[in-house]
Amino acid sequence: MANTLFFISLSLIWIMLLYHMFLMQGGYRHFSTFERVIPKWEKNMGDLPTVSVFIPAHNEEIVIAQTLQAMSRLHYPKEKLDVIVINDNSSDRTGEIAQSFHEKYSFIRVIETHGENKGKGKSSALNEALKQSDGEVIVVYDADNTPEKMAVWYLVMGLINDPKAAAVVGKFRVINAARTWLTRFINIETICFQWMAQGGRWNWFKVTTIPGTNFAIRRSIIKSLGGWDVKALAEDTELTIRVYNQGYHIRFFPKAITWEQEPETLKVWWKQRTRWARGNQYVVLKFLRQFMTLKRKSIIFDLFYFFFTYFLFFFGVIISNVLFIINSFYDLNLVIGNVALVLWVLAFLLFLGEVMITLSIEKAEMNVKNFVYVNIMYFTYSQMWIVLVIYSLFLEIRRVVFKQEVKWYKTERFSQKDKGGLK
Amino acid sequence: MNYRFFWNQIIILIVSISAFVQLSIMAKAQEKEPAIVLYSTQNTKISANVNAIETNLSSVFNIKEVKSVHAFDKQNIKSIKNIIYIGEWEEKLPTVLTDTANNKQQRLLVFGKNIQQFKTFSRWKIKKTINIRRINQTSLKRPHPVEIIQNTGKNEILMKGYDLNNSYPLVIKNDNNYYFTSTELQNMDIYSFSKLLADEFQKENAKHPVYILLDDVTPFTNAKKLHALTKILEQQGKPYYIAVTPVVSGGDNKSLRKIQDNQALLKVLKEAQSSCAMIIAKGYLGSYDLNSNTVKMEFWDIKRNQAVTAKNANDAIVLKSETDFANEKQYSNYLKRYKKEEEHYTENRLSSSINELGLNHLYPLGLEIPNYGASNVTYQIASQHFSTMFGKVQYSNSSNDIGSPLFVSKPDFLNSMILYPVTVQMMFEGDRYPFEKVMDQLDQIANVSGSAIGVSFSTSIDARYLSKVLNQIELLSNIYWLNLKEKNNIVKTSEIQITQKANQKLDVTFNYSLIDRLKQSIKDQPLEMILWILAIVVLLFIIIFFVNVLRLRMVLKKRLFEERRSNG
Repeated sequence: MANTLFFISLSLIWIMLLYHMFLMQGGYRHFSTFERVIPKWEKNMGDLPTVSVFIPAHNEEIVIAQTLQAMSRLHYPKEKLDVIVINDNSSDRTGEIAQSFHEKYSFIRVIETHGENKGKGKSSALNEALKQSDGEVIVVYDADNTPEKMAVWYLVMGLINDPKAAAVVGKFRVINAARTWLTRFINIETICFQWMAQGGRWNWFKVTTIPGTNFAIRRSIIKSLGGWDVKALAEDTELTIRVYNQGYHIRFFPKAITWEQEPETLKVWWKQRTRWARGNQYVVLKFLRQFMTLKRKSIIFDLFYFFFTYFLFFFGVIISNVLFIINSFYDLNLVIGNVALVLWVLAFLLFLGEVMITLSIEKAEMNVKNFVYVNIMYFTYSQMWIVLVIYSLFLEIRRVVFKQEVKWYKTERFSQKDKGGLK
Repeated sequence: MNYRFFWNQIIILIVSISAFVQLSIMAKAQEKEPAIVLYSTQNTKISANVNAIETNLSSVFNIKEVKSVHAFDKQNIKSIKNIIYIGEWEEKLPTVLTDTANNKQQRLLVFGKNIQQFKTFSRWKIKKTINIRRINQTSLKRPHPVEIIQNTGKNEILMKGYDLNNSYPLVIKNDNNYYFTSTELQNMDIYSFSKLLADEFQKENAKHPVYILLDDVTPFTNAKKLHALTKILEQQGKPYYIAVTPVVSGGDNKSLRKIQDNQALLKVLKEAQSSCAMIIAKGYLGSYDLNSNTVKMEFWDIKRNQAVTAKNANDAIVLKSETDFANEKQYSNYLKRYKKEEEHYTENRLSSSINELGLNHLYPLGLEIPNYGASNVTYQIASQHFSTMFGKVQYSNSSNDIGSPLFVSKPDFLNSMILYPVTVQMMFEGDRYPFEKVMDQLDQIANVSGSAIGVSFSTSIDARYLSKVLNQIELLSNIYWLNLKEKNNIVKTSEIQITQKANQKLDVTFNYSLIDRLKQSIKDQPLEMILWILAIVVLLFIIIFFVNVLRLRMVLKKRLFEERRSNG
């Protein structure tokens, strides 16, 4: 019995690790090649589409000013740019600050959510903005984002040059990485996620997930999809699947860069990540139930990847940990000997290799401090995720069983000015 | 000066010659007398009793041949000083044998029937068969039938058997000839029988060889428990033996667990080997039928009580008996196929055992057959790989009839392998009085001159009992600790040869290619091999990743410069 469980957990864990290893290779390939097309693509940037930039904001007074400051510096013809701050039921000075930018910059404006869309969360706010705008391309940024000057330019460049792309996704970096031990871990995590999961999947399968910020989507497509799903906690993943199901793809174009703020305290991290995990679990279960009707094979595969990530992989890890603990006190007579130990060491080395290669891609990120953090991360931050996923699953099951309403947790922001922003 | 030198040389020469003469006399005294074993059985084939008697007598005689009386050839008896006849079946003995025996050139030892055909015993009368219940002071487990001999004259009665009221002669000495009234004496009371052999046929009061066999070590053995045992023996500096089964079926009976899967155990074994311990191979998988929950035998199909008939226990069949065939030839042809299967199976298992241990740097010096179940084929193949055996032997080729002599023996059916018998019974876990039973056995063995004190000690038993046993053995007189490192010994397969020359360093020669090893591993543990392949693939990717990390690090300055340029 113990042996069977051990083999099951070993298989589940290693299927996932091998897949990630494969993705990492793809991510590295994408990094090596994605810029080659830019000179050619630049030539097609003559007749530019109008762009509506959506910034959903609910009580964002701490960060909205610097976000809009970054918007004001965007490299894009201002007559074709419509930056919309969606003030969603804020009780602080968000609207007031945004309004002051509107007074300075005519291409920045503020709208308020109304009726059914008011105070219901990000999806509702985005739907409101969709109604009140007419840009041919919709670009979405979270309220804590400070996109680089060329970010929107590159996102639009992707759409103009790739007719099959319904959306183009850029790269996000962590603005407060050096602030706490937690933001350092998150910084490493996000870099790794983008090059491995986003870059890797794009390279091999032409699949990318919309990350919720720093992406551009064609108005025609989001309209035809009926806007954002207001029930989804992870509206980005949900939208991704619907886009693919329409026969389009989403391009990962890491030349478009934004900097965003990440949780600095464990409490905020826990709440935000619980929402993500629950959101992804919701999406997986929603679409797996109807996967027979999904048109695109690649997205079915991707759904299984999410299913593996949030269900099977963690199940394998939990079994493995339980067996490890029991075996430490009571000999379970596991038949696999040295090779299990070797595989454990290799799993750790693989983790180091994968993370270090992504950090190296981001140039200065591969430093001594981060190297130490990566080593610690495997035994700390990565393990925190196990508890978090179990907890999220528990909440999601409870929600389904008791038919509870989904509550959209808005991530708490931190002032960068008081503490000294960039690292 | 020269005169003095001359006398010195003379004295040295005299001392040397006298030492040489003395050694030659001693060697001659220790030399066993040559003997031939002849038997009468119903089917003229060697029976279990013949094997048992021969095994016991091989410790005091140098047995040259074992054959049916009908195959007796007068020409081959010139150098023979003892004729041992075992009469299990009543028949007319060939005249050539009785004539030879009547010439009284050889000493005669007769067991069982047909005694009156020898002139020496011709006047004796066999009255009837009675059941005896006791031999000397030892009560028998069950009554044994023996033939009552009358008219034995003034001959010396060496052993008596008793029923409830009377005593009856069991072994009678007539001049220099002996008669044993039963062919099963050794089964009735091995101690009395062995003592008689020692008293009558040993040249001198021989020492008891002592050896402790830590038994039943498998990949599941608890390393700490074994270490507790080896520590006791190491502290006393005694040579000892560890019987290792290198591979066992996993808990689910589908996978195999190898000795290298238990690194802690392997470490204890290697440390022990490098000190006082010697490794004994105890089969390969320890069992023929991996699904069986009964007694585990690897070289005997205990479920069907017959020799192994197929490589896989699930494919085994119940062998037909000779009566199912029209003639012996047909039966013999029928058996041939299964014998070939058994040979192939046995060869494979024994080679695998030696190779597996050898590849883990455990070098066996002998063989112990799991639960001692073995056929003639087993011994024949085993003798091609080993020169030493420990434990007990199966006397019969048709049933699981197991026993062991009290002496170190070299029976004919072991094909020149030396048998170091286990004479002190294994102490089982959960036995209420394990120590007391061992003490009883030790007392009885100590009473038999030259008998072997071979203790099989299960590694599952508490280490304190081992200390007790050792202390008790040390109280015995006239003992020596058997050390195979002081003897010539060879263990070999086509892939490995382990040679021990007396008092020299162990010599191990491998003839084993990496591909052979790989093939074997794939065959034995396909799942683990897949995992190893996976490990290699992953390692390659890790190397690629780190090379890329280095590459990016090397061009970092250039990349930073390019970035600054593109940002203006």
